[in-house]
Amino acid sequence: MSLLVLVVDDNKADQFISEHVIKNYDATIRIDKAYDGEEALDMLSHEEYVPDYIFLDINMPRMDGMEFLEAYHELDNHTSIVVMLTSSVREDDYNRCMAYPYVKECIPKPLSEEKLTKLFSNAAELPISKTM
Amino acid sequence: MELEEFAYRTSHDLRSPIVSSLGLLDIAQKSITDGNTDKVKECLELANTSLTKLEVLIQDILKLTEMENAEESEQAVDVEDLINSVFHSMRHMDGFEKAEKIVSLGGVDEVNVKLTRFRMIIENLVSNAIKYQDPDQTSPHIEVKLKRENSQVFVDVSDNGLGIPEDQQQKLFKMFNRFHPKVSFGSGLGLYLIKKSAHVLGGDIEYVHQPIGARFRLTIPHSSGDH
Repeated sequence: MSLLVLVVDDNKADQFISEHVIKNYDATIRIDKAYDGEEALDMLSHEEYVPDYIFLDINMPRMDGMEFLEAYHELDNHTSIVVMLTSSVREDDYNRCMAYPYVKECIPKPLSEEKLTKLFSNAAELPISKTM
Repeated sequence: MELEEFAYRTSHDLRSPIVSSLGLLDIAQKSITDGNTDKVKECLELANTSLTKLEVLIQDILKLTEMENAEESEQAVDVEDLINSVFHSMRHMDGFEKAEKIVSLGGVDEVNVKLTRFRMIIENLVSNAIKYQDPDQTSPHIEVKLKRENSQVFVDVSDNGLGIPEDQQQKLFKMFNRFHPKVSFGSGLGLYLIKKSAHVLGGDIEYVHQPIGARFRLTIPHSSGDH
């Protein structure tokens, strides 16, 4: 099975960039999209839905990234690796995000192939290796 | 809102379309090399949208600063003329033609107000009603209804569009909140701006919950105009 990445971002341009970069990196990676925290949470509340990675924006309407992390914490399954993907982050927000054990990294936008390569090679606990 | 919070949100919202556009241009450039013109087109369209968003935000921030400083005196305004002129200025918006426009003056022909602010509030509410129509609604409408009660005038702008979910209503007039980002983009400052304007008019604006669509109620003091 190939990797599954859930990209949570309200911005169409940033969704497009993430999709392009991920597909360019490895065309077999599957990508799902959610446009705010609530949509993502709806998807994740189905037990059988467990993406390998969640790329999470912070500033979103309805339910933002911080609120999403709080709600996600209440779920039973936390096997997905959460990566914050944001254009700016305040120090206290950064610390709050990183306090969650499943939040592994905070990457500045826009996502690039370089950043993605670094992320995937850093993640020793990568659920399924790209080379498999 | 604290100045620090404002500075953070503004710089974030100014930066993010620029960051997106840079990313898009980068992809476009590579796609040119690859000869993938469809992708280039898509990138340019998205960059265009991002930068337009930026332009809207900057315009709104300018409006906010202008508003803080502008001194304006009250004048007698013909309400029907004003509403018609607002509708006229929005005739090119998507969805304008489709929506039925209902105006009921309730005997209020004239109000004594600071025109620029009053107009801005009506414009903002009407354009929201046009933008946030429910696509499943076969007969969308926008209603502007006035009513005078003792020393107050109520201006209700309502529609049968998407409305605002109940759990989001308390955030409505705060800065930088967006409720239907997929439908249309705004700066998230519009309702904050009109709340401030309503205060400058000596009145207030509130959201009235209703089962279908949205209803905003502007309350302004009624003065006869002879001062």
